[in-house]
Amino acid sequence: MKKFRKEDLSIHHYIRFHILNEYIETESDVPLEFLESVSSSNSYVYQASSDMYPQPTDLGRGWVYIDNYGDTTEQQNAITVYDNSSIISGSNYLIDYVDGRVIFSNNLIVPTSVTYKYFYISLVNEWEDVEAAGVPVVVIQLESFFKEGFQLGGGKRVSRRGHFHIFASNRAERDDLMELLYDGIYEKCCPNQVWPKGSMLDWDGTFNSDYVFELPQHNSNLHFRNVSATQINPPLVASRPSTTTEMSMLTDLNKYRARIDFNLFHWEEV
Amino acid sequence: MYKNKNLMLILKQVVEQEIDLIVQSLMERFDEEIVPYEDEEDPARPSLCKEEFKIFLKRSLKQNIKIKEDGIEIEAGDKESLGLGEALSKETTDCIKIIGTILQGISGNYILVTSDMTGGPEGRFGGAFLLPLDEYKREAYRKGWDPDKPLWKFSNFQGIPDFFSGANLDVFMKAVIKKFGEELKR
Repeated sequence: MKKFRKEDLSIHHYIRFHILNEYIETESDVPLEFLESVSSSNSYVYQASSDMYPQPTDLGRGWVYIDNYGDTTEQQNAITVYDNSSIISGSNYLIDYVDGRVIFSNNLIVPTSVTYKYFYISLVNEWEDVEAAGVPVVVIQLESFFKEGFQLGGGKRVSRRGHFHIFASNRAERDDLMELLYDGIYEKCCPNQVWPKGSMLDWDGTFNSDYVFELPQHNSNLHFRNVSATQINPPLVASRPSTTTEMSMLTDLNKYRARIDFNLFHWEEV
Repeated sequence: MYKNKNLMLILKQVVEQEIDLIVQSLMERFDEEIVPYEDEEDPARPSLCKEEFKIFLKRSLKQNIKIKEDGIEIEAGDKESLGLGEALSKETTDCIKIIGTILQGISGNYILVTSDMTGGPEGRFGGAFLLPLDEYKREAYRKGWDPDKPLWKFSNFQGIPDFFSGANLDVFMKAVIKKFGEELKR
């Protein structure tokens, strides 16, 4: 992983678990369905079938995989799997946090339901993913960077321009998210992690048991500066004729939007 | 104090005189970052709005030069016309709406309904708007619009959030410093 991606991942982790933690929701007693098509003789896969909207496993969401911000080990309290009314010990199964699945190595235990915590706010990096994710969604966009010397004898200050684009389902939600994200980064900093063994989740959605928390030597934290918040009201959307008189209006993805602009910088010693 | 105030007034005058250089820098961004993405067949493509946007920029820049305690502040663009903030100006035009939407970005697939199609008033009070693809298909028959009208080329365009804040002002700053120096020598 290159530095830019590591910084992006560090911010993603900070936003997800530190700022948006109050948007972690719980769904209880969700039935589990056996997925024969993806199961094999040593892998029995069960999918949670949720009726929630947006779906807990929509793009940029998923089940919660650590209990608290700063934890380096897999959650112990966020997911509970049941066999009728009794709890199945976590040592019997793996969890696919991205797709909302529970995986057993044999069929001696048949799970019936699951209670889990999930991320209500979708967090994505690509503008194109907004529609697939569905509101509420936050897009993290990091763009141009600028490097300059900051002391005699080497070292540099690396500065990037960034934006959080907020797409909400109503005015109140937009305003809440805008203020929460603004306060979360205003005059704040977050750890600039190295991710030497990869991110917290593996490619298959299970927890990366090799994960280690490590900070780079001779580098500072990531500092947020020049933070500003603006409501976004795209004129071609806002000026549409009113629902009652002219059009049968559907909810529009772009109706309740806001943007947080910021500078992100850190120092690197030689 | 009185002397400083006079200096600020001179600086403000100089900035006003050189404002075209900021407009020029922004129009270069327009040509490089918006025009290449437009649909050349689109009768409402942004390049046709270039002159109107240029006049809009010049007017809004001139209106927003303010003397502050420690310098001059210039605010670019009229926020209510471009879609920044809660309110949307009613004094805006189709062209400014199109460019304002492009600058803010839009997610999803849309069809552009122009005031030509709605029979709405043209010019300053143009009534262009965007409809999501599915909704357009439903409305097209009822309203007599072309049901096969192509998707707006700037659908899913992520915008240019730093269009104003990221403008290169080097040429403008050099010109202002030079002219301000000349004014002071007089």
